[in-house]
Amino acid sequence: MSFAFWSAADTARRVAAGEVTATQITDAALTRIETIDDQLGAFLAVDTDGALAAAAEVDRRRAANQPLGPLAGVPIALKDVLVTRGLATTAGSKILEGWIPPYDAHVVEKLRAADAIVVGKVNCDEFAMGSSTENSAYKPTRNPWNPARVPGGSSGGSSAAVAAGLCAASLGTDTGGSIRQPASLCGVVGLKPTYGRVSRWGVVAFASSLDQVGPLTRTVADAALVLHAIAGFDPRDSTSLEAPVTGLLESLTGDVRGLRIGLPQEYFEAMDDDVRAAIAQTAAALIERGAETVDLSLPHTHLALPAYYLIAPAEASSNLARFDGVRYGRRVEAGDLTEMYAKTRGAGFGPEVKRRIMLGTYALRSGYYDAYYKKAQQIRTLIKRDFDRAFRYCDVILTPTTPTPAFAFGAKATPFDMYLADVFTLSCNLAGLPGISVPCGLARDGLPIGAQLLGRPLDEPTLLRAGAVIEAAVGLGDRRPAIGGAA
Amino acid sequence: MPELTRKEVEEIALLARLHLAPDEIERMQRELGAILEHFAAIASVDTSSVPAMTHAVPMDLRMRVDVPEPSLPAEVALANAPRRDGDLIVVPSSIAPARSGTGTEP
Amino acid sequence: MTRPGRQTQADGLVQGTPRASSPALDAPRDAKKPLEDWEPVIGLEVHVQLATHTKIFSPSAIEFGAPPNSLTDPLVMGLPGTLPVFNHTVLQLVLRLGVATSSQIRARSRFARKHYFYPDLPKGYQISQYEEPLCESGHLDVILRGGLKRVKLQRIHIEEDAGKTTHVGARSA
Repeated sequence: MSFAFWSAADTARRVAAGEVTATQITDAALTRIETIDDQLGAFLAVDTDGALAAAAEVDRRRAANQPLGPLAGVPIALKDVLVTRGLATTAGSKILEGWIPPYDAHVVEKLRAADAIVVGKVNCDEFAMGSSTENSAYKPTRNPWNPARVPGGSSGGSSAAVAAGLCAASLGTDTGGSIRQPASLCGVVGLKPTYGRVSRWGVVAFASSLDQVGPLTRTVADAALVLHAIAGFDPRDSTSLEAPVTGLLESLTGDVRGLRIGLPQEYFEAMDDDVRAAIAQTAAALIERGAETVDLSLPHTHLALPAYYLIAPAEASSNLARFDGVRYGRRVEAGDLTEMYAKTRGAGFGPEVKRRIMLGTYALRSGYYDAYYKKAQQIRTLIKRDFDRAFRYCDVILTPTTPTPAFAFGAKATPFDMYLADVFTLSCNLAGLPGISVPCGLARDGLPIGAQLLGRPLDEPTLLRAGAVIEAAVGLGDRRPAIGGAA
Repeated sequence: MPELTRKEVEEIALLARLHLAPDEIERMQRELGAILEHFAAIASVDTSSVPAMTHAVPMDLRMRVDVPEPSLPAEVALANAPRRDGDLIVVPSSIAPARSGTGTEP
Repeated sequence: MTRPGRQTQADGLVQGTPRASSPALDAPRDAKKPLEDWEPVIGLEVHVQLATHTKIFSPSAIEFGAPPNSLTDPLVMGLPGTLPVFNHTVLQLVLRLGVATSSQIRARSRFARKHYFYPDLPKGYQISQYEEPLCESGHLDVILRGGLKRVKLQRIHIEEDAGKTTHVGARSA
């Protein structure tokens, strides 16, 4: 029996019912990683011992008739920016090579408490900076639907591993689209929660005011299940919201009658024809089931990209100051302290990270602060107001997740071309809103297309409800990718 | 917005403690210059009456009670240190004459 | 020749204010008569360590003279993924000081990151206050021989203390 494409919900239910053991599931996942990941390149570290020990503990508790958590026996991979006790955490960077953390991220604690099985750490763009996972200092990750294409990024290992059936779910982080964009490119569901919904304790920081952790799964129901497990108040994160976690598991009613779907004109200007057709089909499917569409405008959308690429690098340049070769990670020795810092950071960081540190340092520099960083923060206010106004007329906003399906390795000629891959996903982070990407069909060349839904703060339930309807109407069904799909 | 000079690139790299090889400096000057050009659009937006937004979700600062929690054992705290002397982490001297000392504050 | 500059005593600053404008600045001055050209205005930056049980942004304990690196946690070591949470007692004590010195207390105050690279600054920045400090424009009355003297307080702000560096020969630890 192959468990490879079982949903997380099915897996947990069958483990709890005793139809299958957590050890069987975990063994199968580890074997698949061993046999398939050579072609995929998703995993940076596989925690065989830890995963088997956790599975054995679940089986022991089940045998003793003790209650099991909602993710009992579900194999889950973690983006390598999530800190794991005793398991190397690199953030995709050479500067953290060899670092063994002494603590677990909050979300990792929550997953373990829900009896999930952490199978390993997956690849990403260095410090989550990128849109293709090509910026990983370790290796490229391939798109399971077409190995000549990128899986998206920065959570490209997370999306590829789930799409190819190497785990039931994964966690990624999303600062400007890094969950939704790779989910879209790999044909899986990716959910970026409301800012503050999930604790950032133990998330290697990229841009603190934008970063959020969220699930990548093969079904919308699984996204609800995993988010339910990781969300909630954490006193160690000062920006963690105290609002109770409710309505997620009950959200999948299949009923979108009367739901008002906003279509912002600025998101439908430039995109691939197949993407345009798929989103039109998605909107039509929602209307057919009783939803209404509302044409609207988010007039400051064109400013989101410059605002984001000033704010995110500015915060990154500050957050990455701690990587100095003194207390952990890589150090390049030098006779002089300043030289030791500069050489350590010069050798430890890759080109995109250096570019963003430079851009951020430039924008924060005395005398330039008002023209760049403060200006970008003011534009952020304008973007947030656009959404506040739009949500008076609609309940969710529907857009494409990305302008094109997965692109080829090396296809983006300049850094700015790569930045444009995030053009539809950035605003959501600037405004702190929840967003989800749900597969909505394949392009003519067989690559997945994703529909993005954006919602009001803490209204993940509505995103999930509409997302599940999209999944049922125009989702990928039983279609599987080239890598891993045969199993 | 002004063009980025090579000297500026070198100054920013020093502020960021980022050693860049000569070809990296050149590339950085070209690429950052191009990126900043794309951002020129923001200069013309009138934001004179718009407050700056630092966080998406407005909230009061959360505080914690002044009660100690257990410390990491020194061995654990220092386990990843690249260079040690007993329970100290060793670095090159910070009071030797600096070659390029802007920004440090002993 | 006298010049405005840093005072050698800990944390004090001397600001030189020229009495006359350009002639005083341009012409060579007699070192024996500096006060004819300059009016000393002395400001003091005073650091007060608060008697709390834990650090300002971490629940790690405080103990004077404890062995090096014995009172740490992931935040104190500046590990990736850690986040600061403010100690409520710090706020209470600083507010008390603000009230005692008749300062104006801000209803909204903010922290900022002050960046510099130094081995005893694990995060690469110090959390401090720059714009909108908690207390401003207070004063302290002291009794001198000539009577009461009012010392004006420009601001009282909150900041974290960095770690400690020990210098041994050509290296620091």
